Amino acid sequence: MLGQIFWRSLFIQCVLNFDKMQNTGFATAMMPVIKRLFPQGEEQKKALLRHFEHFNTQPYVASIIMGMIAAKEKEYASSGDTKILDDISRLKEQTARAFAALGDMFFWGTWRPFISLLGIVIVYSGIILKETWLMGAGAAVFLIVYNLIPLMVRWYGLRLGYEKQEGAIEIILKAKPVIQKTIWWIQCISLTILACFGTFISSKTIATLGGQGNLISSLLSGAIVLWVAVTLRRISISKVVILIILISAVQAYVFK
Amino acid sequence: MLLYALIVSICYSLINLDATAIAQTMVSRPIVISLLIGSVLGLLNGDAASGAGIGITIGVFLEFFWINISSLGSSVPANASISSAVATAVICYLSKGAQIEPYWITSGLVYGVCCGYAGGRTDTLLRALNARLVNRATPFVEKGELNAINRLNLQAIGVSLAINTLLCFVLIIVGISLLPVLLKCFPQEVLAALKNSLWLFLLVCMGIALEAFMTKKSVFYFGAVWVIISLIGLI
Repeated sequence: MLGQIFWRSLFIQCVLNFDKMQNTGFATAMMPVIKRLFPQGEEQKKALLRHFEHFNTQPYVASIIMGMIAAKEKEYASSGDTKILDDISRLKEQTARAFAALGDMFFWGTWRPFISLLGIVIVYSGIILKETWLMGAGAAVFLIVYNLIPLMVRWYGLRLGYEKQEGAIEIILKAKPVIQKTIWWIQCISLTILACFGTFISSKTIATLGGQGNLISSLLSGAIVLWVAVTLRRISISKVVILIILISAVQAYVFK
Repeated sequence: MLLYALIVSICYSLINLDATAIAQTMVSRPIVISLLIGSVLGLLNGDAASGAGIGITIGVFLEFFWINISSLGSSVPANASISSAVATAVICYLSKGAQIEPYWITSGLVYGVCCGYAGGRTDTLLRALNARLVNRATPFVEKGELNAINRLNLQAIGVSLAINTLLCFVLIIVGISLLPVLLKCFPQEVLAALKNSLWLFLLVCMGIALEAFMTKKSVFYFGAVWVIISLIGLI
């Protein structure tokens, strides 16, 4: 049953909508549980409607919640205690929000940008060294290394939620400082890679375009990178790009 | 040209299912989708390696540009996948058999970025359409029909494929038709500006990546490392 839930959890965002967000995806994942525990009749209908309600969380950590809810449904099916139904809706609501914050911070805010940066560095090295295999390796490294953690979280999170139920929340709370420390280290490593790579690649690009890749142009590049990073907090990316193109046009006319 | 655009659009809409509908394995990220679409286009043109090379170059720039893009809560960001697919397709088509000029790459990238924002609007439309599909399926779910859920998933996938294929097709045709005309009209100074913009575009992308990892004190750390590496490079 857990295997079936795991494969179906990959479709959690299939019918993502503004009204009930991931409700259909959650119901899709719970279908093996509903079919096994409530084969037919009124109980099956109620179970289906329970899991067709509003649900929204980070897609990878949703598996932990699915495991918890599957265990709760199993408990309800065997005991018939209606208080468990209140637990189910409370658990879904509270854990969805909490886990979403953690999942977004780690996966979307740190892990994916870091692995993207690694992939970019490898591919760019292939472009500079004119090694085609290195370019392909960059994309492959990005895909393989990135997916290690989400797949592990999806599978082991599902099992953790099923076996421990509310205990899984305590385990994740205990792991939170470790996760935050990991995020800090990944950010430090990313900044170092970006600074080293950025210095090298900006002078290489200037040289390729016929300019002088010297110390002043390197420092100027660094200043522009810092200015863009600080400015982005106040204006949108599209306006920065338009500004850059206008600056280039003015420079081209002035320094004809 | 139409067949070319159709093939790319179908490839894009299938790969883009990974972005929201299925698995989220990041196959739809620019660094991967550009390589795949560039390889397909290269095969069509008889030179897969060249197409893959163009694709990965575009993919690297756009992966950098969209490094921080993500859908948090109910927000709908720009669509990085369509920007890469369209930029790769347009540049591969324009560069068939010719030496690629840097200003082609810059204009293709800027067009791709604009297409990314258009793709974001389409994703908003898709979510609204999905809400309608859910409302239509609700009476069947209330009757307890389990198959209604499976039908709903298939309908959503079908709608996503159709709309994304159409959008990508239109954007590629517009790009292939419009960009060469615009580039021919521009004077040499503007083409020189576009060529220089490639370096500035790269710096903007690095700025976006820095903003993704930035904390309070990290600006000084980043600046210090940049200066030290620049000095080491000088030596």
